[in-house]
Amino acid sequence: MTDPGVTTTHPTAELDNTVHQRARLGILTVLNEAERADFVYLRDALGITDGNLSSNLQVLQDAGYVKIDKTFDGKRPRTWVTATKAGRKALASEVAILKAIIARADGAR
Amino acid sequence: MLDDDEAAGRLAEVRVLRRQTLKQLQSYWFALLVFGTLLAASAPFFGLFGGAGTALYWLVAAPAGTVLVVRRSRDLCVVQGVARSHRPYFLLGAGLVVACFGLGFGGGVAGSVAISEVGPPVAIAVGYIVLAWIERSALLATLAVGLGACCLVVLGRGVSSPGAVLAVVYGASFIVVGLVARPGVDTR
Repeated sequence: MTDPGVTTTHPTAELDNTVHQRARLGILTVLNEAERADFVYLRDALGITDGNLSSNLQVLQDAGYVKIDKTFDGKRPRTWVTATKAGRKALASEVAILKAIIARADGAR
Repeated sequence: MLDDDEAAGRLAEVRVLRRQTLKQLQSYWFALLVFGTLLAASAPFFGLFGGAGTALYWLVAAPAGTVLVVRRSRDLCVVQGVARSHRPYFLLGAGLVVACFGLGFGGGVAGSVAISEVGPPVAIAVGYIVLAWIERSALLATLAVGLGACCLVVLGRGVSSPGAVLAVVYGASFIVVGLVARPGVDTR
């Protein structure tokens, strides 16, 4: 029986779709450990294509979770990505929710 | 709705990526080689010029070592495409400089060889525990504990020139651990 005074919302309801997507979660995880990473490093670390990474970075940038800087290394253009404070907070929240889902399932067993 | 197996899988991916990134960012071995060499080279100063001469040596050696380490770290960042914040290292380095010079000069003024010569190595051992936490490195934590134990042994045995002995022990330990921690290939 459920106590009417207790909220029973499943933690999944609190997931932020912007962060929850696998590639975007990976991007924020790398950027949370590093101060900044370039496009090539992120692409190789996550094992995704240029197009996939570009579109996911765009989503994260639109949400204010990453900052993108385009620089030149000699004549070669280079794209550096940094996680914003909001991005780091969103990642921490996502990880906490994932842990809550696991804890809830463990409690039900 | 996300089930617990999917959540566990996603969390596992996060942990793996975190570990990979940290491993890529770990380059403390170079700092250990540089400062290990500088420490070993400082040993004769204790006997020849005493505490003041050693302090002067470090006034030149510490900034020179820092410039070398920071320059390499920046070069590596450009090559690897990933960089970590230098802020925790600068804060730790500044704290160590203040602690080492404070204990060295304070002990000298108070006329305590134990404080002036063993105080700075103890501060460095404590600093390396902080560094081990920053780098999430068990190897560095082991080194820090080992160095702390060396300080106790040297103090307990009443060695005549503890600063010189500890400089050699620290220098050799840093160089050995730096060589052990050095990756085969650290550039992409």
